Amino acid sequence: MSSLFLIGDSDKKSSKSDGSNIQNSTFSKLLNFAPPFCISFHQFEVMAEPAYTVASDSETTGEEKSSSAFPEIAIGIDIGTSQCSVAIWNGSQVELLRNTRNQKLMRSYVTFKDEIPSGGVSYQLSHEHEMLSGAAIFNMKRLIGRVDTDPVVHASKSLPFLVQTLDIGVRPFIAALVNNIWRSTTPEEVLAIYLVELRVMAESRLKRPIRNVVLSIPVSFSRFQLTRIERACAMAGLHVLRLMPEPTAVALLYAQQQQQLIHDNMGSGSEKIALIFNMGAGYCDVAVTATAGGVSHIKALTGSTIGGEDFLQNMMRHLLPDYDNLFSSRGVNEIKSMGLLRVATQDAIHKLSFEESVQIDVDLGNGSRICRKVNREEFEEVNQKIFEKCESLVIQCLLDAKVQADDLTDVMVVGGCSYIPKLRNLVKSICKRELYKGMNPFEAAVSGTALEGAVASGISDPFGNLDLLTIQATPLGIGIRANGNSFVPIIPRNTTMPARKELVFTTVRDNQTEVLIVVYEGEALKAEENHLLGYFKITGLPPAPKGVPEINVCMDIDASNVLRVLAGVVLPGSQQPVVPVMEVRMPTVDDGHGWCAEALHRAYGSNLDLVTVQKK
Amino acid sequence: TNQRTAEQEIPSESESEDESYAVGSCSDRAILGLPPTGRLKLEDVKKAFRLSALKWHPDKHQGPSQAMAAEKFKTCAAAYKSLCHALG
Repeated sequence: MSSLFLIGDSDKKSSKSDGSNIQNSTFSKLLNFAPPFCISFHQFEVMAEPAYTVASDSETTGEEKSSSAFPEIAIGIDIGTSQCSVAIWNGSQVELLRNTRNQKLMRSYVTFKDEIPSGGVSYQLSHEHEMLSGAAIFNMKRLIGRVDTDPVVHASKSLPFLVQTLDIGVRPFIAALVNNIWRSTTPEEVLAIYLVELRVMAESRLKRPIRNVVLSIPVSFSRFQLTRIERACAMAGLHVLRLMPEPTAVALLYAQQQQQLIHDNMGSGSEKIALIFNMGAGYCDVAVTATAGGVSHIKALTGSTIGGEDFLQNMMRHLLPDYDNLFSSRGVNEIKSMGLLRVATQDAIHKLSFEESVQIDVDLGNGSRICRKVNREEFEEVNQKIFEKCESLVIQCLLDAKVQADDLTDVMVVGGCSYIPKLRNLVKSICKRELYKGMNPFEAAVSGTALEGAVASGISDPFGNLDLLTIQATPLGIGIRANGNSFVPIIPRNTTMPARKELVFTTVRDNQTEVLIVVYEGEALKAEENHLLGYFKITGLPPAPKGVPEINVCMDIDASNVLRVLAGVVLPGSQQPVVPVMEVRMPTVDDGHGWCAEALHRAYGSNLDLVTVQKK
Repeated sequence: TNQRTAEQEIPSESESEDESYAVGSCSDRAILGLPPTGRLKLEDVKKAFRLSALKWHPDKHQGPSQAMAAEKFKTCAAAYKSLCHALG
């Protein structure tokens, strides 16, 4: 009933024929005839709003910007799995804001100890171990927007609070232990509480209300995960001006530094190709950027959910092979033991970046004590798979950017893992370059978001220090299910943004009256192995033999990274659309999307037996 | 550099260089502000795209003009991709 298959590739077509570009494609013609019939899908979410959130949980993207004479400079926020920081363009340079304890880097966690939860911005831990008492939730960046079938959620079960899964594609059960009672929460709620603290801190430092923010995000985040980040910001009264993949924020800082060198007559204006490797506690991202004249043009992005947390978990299991058995139950004592081991292991890993070997001596309080020497080779061996994955990300990114190691001018290693010798060496060896020394590896990403905050807020600088621009690329492909159960990308990975692309599809059955458009994001060949973003039907197609109706599916990403999917139908010989054009903002799915993909497959999967036809 | 390449187009050149006269559609060239015919170098295309980006990228437009600028930028990005493809 609802089937589609691909007729031709309009992108290839436009590059061959003279004068045809995206603007005068069939689809735009189609749009000129009929005003698009718009649907806006709002996500209704039933969620108990705790008293400490300051704003309603409303959709905020695509809002009108205030048109005051003095534009508000958006602040830059780097939400890390382990640490967070805030920075702003202060009129002459980027400045990181400090909390009341004079810290620029603040631990990412929220403690549910009393009635009012408190986070790592303001709260002073009496001891590191207090964070591991079961009352503190952290690693929210690893958990946000993931369902309980996600391997990352499963790996998070070893954190010293409660993460339970039913493995059916719903939200995991996450809870903090408060007075021996499990208090359920969500990563969005934890992040919102934390963001409120960051906002209050920034407001007291800057003595003005803060609304607009630029946030750095991992490359591998799906658009669904981005909506969760936006939701958390909305709950904290913040409006997301831009979400920047972390290495692209670093790339913007690099572009500014190169411009500075030219101003100081120390640099050449020629194009510089740079590779940025960014690995924190939760994610590893790579970008290749071409920089000239203050413009950073992102050529390719790769990323994966691997980070310091994985190094840590591998080491803990190495030190305590019986780890999973010992901690399968979650009492106060187990959580305390897990916490003690975690702190000791983290400390050892940190020291191994600077020393060849380190002595670990930790009493887990449950009768077992770990007392032994660990050396760097051991650490590298235990984590060999992670290092291999890092290597493959760098190689893939160079390939995607069509760049050889010899073309690179500069190579940067930043983020919380940037001092690990093995990581530095592997990047150096693939890129055949010494590492760039001009930036603080812990502050680079947040500095880039602050620059973007100033640029995207329309701030100019009399000395030209903000004559900068980042041209972003899509980190993941976006397309629909067609040709059976295949994923057909319409906007491929690493497409320059904003972007608009379209493809033409057709029906597979005679007199097919309905067509189901299922939108996915990702790289997998099979549709259901990608992230489901949403779906809608085009109904009321007039009876026609199979393969006759031309179904144009167009995808548009605007300046704020909002994705819209448009679908229209024409019959040959007529330029008039036969049904109103549907325009749908994505994503439309909410937390149950694990169920949803499966249900769709059950209901429609057998009907989607399709063949690709190449248009001449 | 555009002027220099325009001057060089008259003298006879090798066959491989002849091909670069025909490379890229007139409309793609026009969108990026490149001369409609004549030799095309990748470097010039890149430079022209960067200048168009600084002019039309939505980050450089606040308020009502942003949506129009974004449309213009998409056209520039498509023209740039098409010209790079033709030259590559």
